[in-house]
Amino acid sequence: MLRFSAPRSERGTSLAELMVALVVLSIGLLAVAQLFPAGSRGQVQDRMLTAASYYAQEKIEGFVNVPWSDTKLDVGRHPASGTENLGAWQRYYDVAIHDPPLDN
Amino acid sequence: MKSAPAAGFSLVELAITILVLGIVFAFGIPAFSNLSGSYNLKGTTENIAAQLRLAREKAIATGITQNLWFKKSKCQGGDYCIDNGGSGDPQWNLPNGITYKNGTGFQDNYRMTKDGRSLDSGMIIVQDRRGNRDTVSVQISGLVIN
Repeated sequence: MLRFSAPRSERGTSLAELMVALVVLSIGLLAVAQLFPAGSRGQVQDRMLTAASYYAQEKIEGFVNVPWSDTKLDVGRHPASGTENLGAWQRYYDVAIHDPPLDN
Repeated sequence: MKSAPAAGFSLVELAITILVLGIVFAFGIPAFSNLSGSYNLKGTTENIAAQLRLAREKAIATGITQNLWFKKSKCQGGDYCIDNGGSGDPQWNLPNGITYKNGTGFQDNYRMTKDGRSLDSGMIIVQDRRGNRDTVSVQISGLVIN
């Protein structure tokens, strides 16, 4: 059988060196992998926030045809205590009188 | 000058490399396909919600009630459409593999009126091939949540 032996100057990496390199690489990969759940969590949070702003907008739009004398526009918190339950969201609104002159 | 003989990979080394690669792909490909599938489903509900909101805005702007259908038999070829009786009414398709899931609360027709309200309330439920679901809900006030 013919056997080749590489000259001393052309020896490759040893197994131990390879293992060390793999460990270092996997530590890096694990660090990057942490970003995925964090991103996914952020996505859910932002979705909730978007929906919340739609609920707030809905409430504001509901006041368009409400006269100023309506009890819905009495100064103070509505409802006076607690919140309106909207499943995953809670809603309440405050009516306040701003002293003139107003900005707009 | 005589060069050193080139020593390549042995068959065993190559086989092990291919095996390891195969194991990596066996875990990686289904995971990736799951992820892209869930984004596909999410995108579908985003599109549906956007069309509902746009139809509401259009009803407010034009004063013409916008009639949306989420039923194939009510749309000329599309999966969902606006049907105002005209010939140029738009229609859209659900992505490949996404279907409606008829269940409690499913409502296939929404009429957005000029005062910004919807005459109908309910949900549009979509599911993918794996059975994952996502919903868009429409309320009488015209609120579209997804």
